[in-house]
Amino acid sequence: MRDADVFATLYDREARTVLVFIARRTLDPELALDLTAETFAQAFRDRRSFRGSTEMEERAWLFTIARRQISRYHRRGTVERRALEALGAQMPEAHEDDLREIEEAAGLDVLRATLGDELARLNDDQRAALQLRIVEERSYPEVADALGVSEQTARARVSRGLRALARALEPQLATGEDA
Amino acid sequence: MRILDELGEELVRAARAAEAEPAYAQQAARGRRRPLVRVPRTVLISLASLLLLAAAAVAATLVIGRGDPIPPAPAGAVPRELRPVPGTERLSHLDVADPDGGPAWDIRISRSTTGAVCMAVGQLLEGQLGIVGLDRRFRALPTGAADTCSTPQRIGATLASARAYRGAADPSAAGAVHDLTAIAGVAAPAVQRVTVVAGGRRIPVRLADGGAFLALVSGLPEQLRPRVVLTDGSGRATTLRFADTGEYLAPDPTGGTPWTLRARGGPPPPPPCGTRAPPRSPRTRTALRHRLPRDRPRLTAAVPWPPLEPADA
Repeated sequence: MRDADVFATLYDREARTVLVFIARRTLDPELALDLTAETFAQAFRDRRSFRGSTEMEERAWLFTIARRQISRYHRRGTVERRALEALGAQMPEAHEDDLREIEEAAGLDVLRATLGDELARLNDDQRAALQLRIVEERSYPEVADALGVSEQTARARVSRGLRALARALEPQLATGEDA
Repeated sequence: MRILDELGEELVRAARAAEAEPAYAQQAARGRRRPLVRVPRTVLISLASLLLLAAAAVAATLVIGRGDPIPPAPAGAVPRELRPVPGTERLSHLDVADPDGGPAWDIRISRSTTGAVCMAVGQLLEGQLGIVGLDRRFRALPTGAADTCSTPQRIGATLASARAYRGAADPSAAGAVHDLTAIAGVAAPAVQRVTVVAGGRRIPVRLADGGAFLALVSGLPEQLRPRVVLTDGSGRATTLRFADTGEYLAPDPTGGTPWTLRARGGPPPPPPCGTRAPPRSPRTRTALRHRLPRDRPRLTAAVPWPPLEPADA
């Protein structure tokens, strides 16, 4: 069997799961679609580096690529399309219906509501620190200045806030991975 | 899911094509080719930069001439909302490549006397914003003028426009011209990602400091039916549409005018459903308008035609 045939089978089996997995971690259907495309393009490009033999190992390998895509996006704030462009593939146009379908498949409404609840549950200090650092993307010295605390305290508040949110959302995100 | 099926078909098609291509297979097997002589990277980069600068300067001098600057409109003819305050102008440094090989494109942002955000779209030559006409002459845009202005918005876009230009595709090919649409705007501060969809193609665009974004696409707005998707940090997307007719556009595989797909039903069975948009009359004047709800600013996209005629034509 040719590589492209194996790739087609892998895509048919895993595309929806990967899309839901990414959508639940980015809360953005369009972005999830972009990252899914890049994930599969990278999987095809790096196919020779896969050392496993079972479907489970294949899935774990694919999710590792997807996770790397998400963290790279969070770090750089842009979607990379290197593998997609090298492959010569073009993104199909996503319509509103498609994005709504992804929202529903990933249960983003529920997840957003949960995130809102958990944010409300944080103490005021942590919430303010997260607002400044994550939403407004200010530097730690700026966060510390705005809150009137030391930089070390600002870092601790952001870190504790994120850990609390991660703990609360973990069960829901795990559901996304199993979807 | 329709979109996943389409994506899968495209990826598998590309994978099959890549597999069939010997160069791709060889490259994948061997990795990147190393240069025969190792030169320190910094030296290479410096040399390349110098060569590029020299080439750009020579090209700009040889190919692009200079015409008289475009005079500003009489002061009384411009309302206060559209009058930038001198000294507030700054370029966005987007440097979007010109498809015709001319100077790169950029957006100049300024503030009006009423506090509105204003923008002017044009090409950059030696630090000046202007437009290269069909005669291949660069004419500077007046500094105290803007294409459009609007009050700053918290979500979506403060400004967005789709504007058509006619460009000289190749100076060596006499009379060869082609249509170009500049999709430009200023996103609200909360926006983190902007995607332009034009002619069925998705184009991620860079957000400059200050929220300016710009994409250049071959074709006219009514052929491309561009839309701008602005996504903020919470994942909320705002979509602005221009010249939208609700028809589905498919990109032309050869990079030409996009195909318009229309659904037809009932007997007899429909013929093949792809049709190309008819060619546009060169003298047609188009005016597009995108209207938002009352509590939002009105965004307009005026499409002048022809955009610039040579002064000595």
